Amino acid sequence: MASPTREDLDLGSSNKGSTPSEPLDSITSATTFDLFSDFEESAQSFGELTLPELPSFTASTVNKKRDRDEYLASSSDAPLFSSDDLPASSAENYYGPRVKRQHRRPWYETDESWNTVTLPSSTKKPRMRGPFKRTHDSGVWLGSDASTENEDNDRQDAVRRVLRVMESGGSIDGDEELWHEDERELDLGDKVHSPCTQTLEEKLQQALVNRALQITEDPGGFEGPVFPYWQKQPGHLMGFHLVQQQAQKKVTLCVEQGGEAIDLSTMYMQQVRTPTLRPLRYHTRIVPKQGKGNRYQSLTPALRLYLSNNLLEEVPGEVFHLKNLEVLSLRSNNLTEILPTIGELNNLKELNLGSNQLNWLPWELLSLLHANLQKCMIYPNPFIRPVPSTWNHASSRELKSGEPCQQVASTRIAFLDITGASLRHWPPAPSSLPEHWPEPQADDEFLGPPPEERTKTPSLLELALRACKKSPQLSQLPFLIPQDCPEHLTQLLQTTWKLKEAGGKSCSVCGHEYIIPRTEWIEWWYCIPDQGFRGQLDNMLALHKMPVPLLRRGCSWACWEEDASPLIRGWSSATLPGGLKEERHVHGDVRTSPTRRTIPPSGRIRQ
Amino acid sequence: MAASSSPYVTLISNDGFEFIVSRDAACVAGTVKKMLDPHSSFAESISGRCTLGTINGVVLEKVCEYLYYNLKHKDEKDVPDMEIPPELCLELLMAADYLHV
Repeated sequence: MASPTREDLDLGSSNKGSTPSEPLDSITSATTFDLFSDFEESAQSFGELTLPELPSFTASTVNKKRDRDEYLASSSDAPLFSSDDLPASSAENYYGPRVKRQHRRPWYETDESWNTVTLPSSTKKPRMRGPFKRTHDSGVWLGSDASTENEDNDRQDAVRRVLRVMESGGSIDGDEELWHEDERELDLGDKVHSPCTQTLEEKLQQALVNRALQITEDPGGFEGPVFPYWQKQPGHLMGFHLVQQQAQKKVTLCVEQGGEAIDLSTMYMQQVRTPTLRPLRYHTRIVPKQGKGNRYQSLTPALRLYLSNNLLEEVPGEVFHLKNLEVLSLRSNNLTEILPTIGELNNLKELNLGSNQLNWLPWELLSLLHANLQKCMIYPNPFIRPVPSTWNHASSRELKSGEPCQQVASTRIAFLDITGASLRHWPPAPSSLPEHWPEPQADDEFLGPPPEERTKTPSLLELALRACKKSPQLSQLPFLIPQDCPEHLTQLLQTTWKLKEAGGKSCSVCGHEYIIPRTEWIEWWYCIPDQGFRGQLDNMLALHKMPVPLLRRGCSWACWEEDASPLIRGWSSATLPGGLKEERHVHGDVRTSPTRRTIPPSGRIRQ
Repeated sequence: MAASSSPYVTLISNDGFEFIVSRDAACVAGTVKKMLDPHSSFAESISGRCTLGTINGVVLEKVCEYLYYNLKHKDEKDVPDMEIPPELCLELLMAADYLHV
């Protein structure tokens, strides 16, 4: 009767899987038998009393225990190489990878813990990392267990810190104290902890936009530049003006929000600082989120810069670096000259230069018209006009739009000395009045330089200035010149500096970069496309019909168009062709070119 | 004197360096050309020695290099730029203005 029970007990107390040694087994079974034989007797004496209920073993727990015991029993050094002949390295003894950290405590510190505290993987809580302590359930410690999680935390910390600094209104890299204000928990910081739909990066972007908005609303609240590269700009260039601050804020706002229209009009600015416009160079378009429309969009923005209604006397050099500019408005300023560098803005579609003090436009405008320029408003301006009776329609080319582009007249060529001043007895050129342009006279000196001096070799002054232009200390060079030096050297250095800011200019004849022009003349062209004045006032229509004076400059005395002014060829002989003098009196100083050839369409215009 | 017809002239810097260059090259510089003009009776035109008191030897060497560079490329269409070390650019600028070259 009792034998099955005894067998069960035997089973429960002995190791099932391993092969038990013979004497041990016999001893155990003997003792248990003795125990139970006594017990049996007493039970019989009490009548039909049965044994107390055995603890219920579920199959799973039994298996677990057995596995563990077997594992411990067969634990040995792991094989180093697969070719090792050790029995432990054979496939039979392989128990699979151990699951680490399934239990919170080692098995011997708790009685039933291994049964209960196994954490399901789905409800994984963040582990608390304490100091490293060696525990006996594992011989190996893998240090890279939570490293990725840590990195992520670091990143979030950094973003959070930036947000906090921005909230408190400081600059990101400047205020050391703000970095240590970790105790102050801001609303934004708290939100970071809670799971929400917005990611941290989106928050950061939103905060930047908020910051920019706050700046525009409150002009006094802007304490300093946000980005470090502004701080690196030399501060002595121009005074830090309130208007400049506002302009800077507007530019910042545009760059942060990805806006493409920069409206700096009617701000009464006399100049726009280079650092104000500098961020526009790095402006990228903000592409809408994926899934909305076309995923592949250009990041190149189509910038529209409005600088109208200001007091600018020259175009800010930084403008010429904005190759993505499509619309540029400089209307109602005090501009007296447009640098030829404007020819580099090949993407320009709309240009407004009206209401300025321009006597002429750069000849490079033609290359813009050849490229993309569709709308060009240049009136009103005090342009020089040729005498209408001397117009000549011989030279022409076609614009992209199909409209003809014709050269109708040109002045004679002015030769300038090495410092860019006009030669002796010549008025400062170019002058706004045609009668001031140099006239050929019987005296050789007025006929320009002798042919043997018309070389393309740059002067030493020019070469030295080019070397100065390459120098990174160009802005300091004017201050390094000794006091007793002639003043025009300082002016030349300042001109060089402005040129460097604008990107330099190249000769309209040979295309070489130069600093000091040696020749210059004006050509009148019919080139400005339809401005939409048709059907409006008659005088507008008359204005539209006017040819536009375009100033050309050459880099050496050899740089002038062969056919620009045929009279120049007669200059080498001291005697002038007869009748010219009278003609000059009749037509003012504008020389026509009766034998002018047609310039081929590929022409001298740089694309 | 024989010096006025000699094909070579001497340019002397303020620290005593003497550069003997051909008369053609020296006359590229406007100031030197006027100094050596045989119709003027300047002492330099007679002796053929020009003392340039504001230019030191290092700069004058570079100037002489330029004079020959100009002479060499006089009739060329595509002229390569002459190398100018950045530390000399300001002094050369002043020298060029003085020599009108």
